[in-house]
Amino acid sequence: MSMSRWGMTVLAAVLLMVVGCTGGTPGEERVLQIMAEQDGCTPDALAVSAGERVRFEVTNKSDQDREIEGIEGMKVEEVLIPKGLTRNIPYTVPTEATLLKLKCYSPAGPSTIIEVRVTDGAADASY
Amino acid sequence: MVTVREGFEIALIIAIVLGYLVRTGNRRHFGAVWGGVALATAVTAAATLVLVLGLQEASTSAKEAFEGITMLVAVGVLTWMVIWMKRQAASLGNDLRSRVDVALERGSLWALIGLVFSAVIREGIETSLFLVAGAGAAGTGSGMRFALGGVLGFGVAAILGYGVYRGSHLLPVRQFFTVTGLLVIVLAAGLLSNGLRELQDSTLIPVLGGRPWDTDALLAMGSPTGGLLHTLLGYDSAPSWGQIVGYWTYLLGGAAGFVLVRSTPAQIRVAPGALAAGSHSRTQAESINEG
Repeated sequence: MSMSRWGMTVLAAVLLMVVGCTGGTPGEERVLQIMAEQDGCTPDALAVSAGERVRFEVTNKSDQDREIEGIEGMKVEEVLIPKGLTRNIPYTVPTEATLLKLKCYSPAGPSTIIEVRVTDGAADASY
Repeated sequence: MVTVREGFEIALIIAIVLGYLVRTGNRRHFGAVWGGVALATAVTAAATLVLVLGLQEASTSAKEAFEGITMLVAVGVLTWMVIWMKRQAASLGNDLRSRVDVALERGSLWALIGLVFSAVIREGIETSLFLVAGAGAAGTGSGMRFALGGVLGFGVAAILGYGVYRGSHLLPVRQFFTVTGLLVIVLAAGLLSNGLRELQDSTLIPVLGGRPWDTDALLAMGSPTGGLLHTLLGYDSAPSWGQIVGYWTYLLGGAAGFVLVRSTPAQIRVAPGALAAGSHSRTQAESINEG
């Protein structure tokens, strides 16, 4: 295979990988707002529906960087929320009713465990 | 996606090392490199078990500090690899287009194995912990599917790495070293930025200067694409000035040094009659120090 054909093949593979990773159509998720403040994060409980697509919109109003990640099996990778900024975290809820947990924290500061209850029916933002 | 992007970095390092061995007539050392990969995989599995069982109570800041330090150590290892590649490229004459049999110094072979070993360990532990945590979700079915997805991700990464390995054969030897050297510089610059970020997150070091911009609305760190670019290129939607200066200093300085600075050729021994037809063997022989 010549250099040009190989190069096109690799470029196509990389593009497919990138495009394939972009997920679904934006704007279809339900937005769940989380506020990180000086003494912790609110709310401390959320309700979602099984299989639903949501977006956690985390705003850091404290004077320190914060992080948020899923714990005890919740598949949300650690996300840094710099002070004063907002981060959006898309998430597809599991198809089984269960209780998940998000940890909202500052390494040197307060930590809040946010319970995310997965229900089979339609759910409000918090319970 | 986690295992695709983390696995691709591992596959890239392995592809570069194997490609080097092929181009220098040292294919016989493939077994040693794959042995290093297998050993690193076993160590990763054992370390993951220890971490899951024994270090769950470790503070988040301690974990992040550990990640940051291992990333900066990796930058050191990759920098050594770039300097070494520079010396290897300098040893090959401009007219040389074919493979030469270069007697690989024992220390160099162990160093290559060590590079692959450290890459598998570093990325493997991080990914394994994520897979273990995710597979532990309620319900055997979803956990198994998650683990299977992780394994498939590694498979995709392996295929991409193989593509890089095969493609490297198309380059003339000298260009191979140049391209792979520059690629390693790009990877190392990203690791430097990511390492500084982890140390800042852990509060081991303060945030180095303010964060002059925020591009998360354009390309979110939490998105699969953003995560992929973060892993491979050190993309950060809101980097600190320290990360920005460190990244660009290393990238531009390293690339300029690699391309512009003339390096003392490595001491290499060429097997008699090993130079392929079409190369200028007289010129090459005069520049080689026989061992």
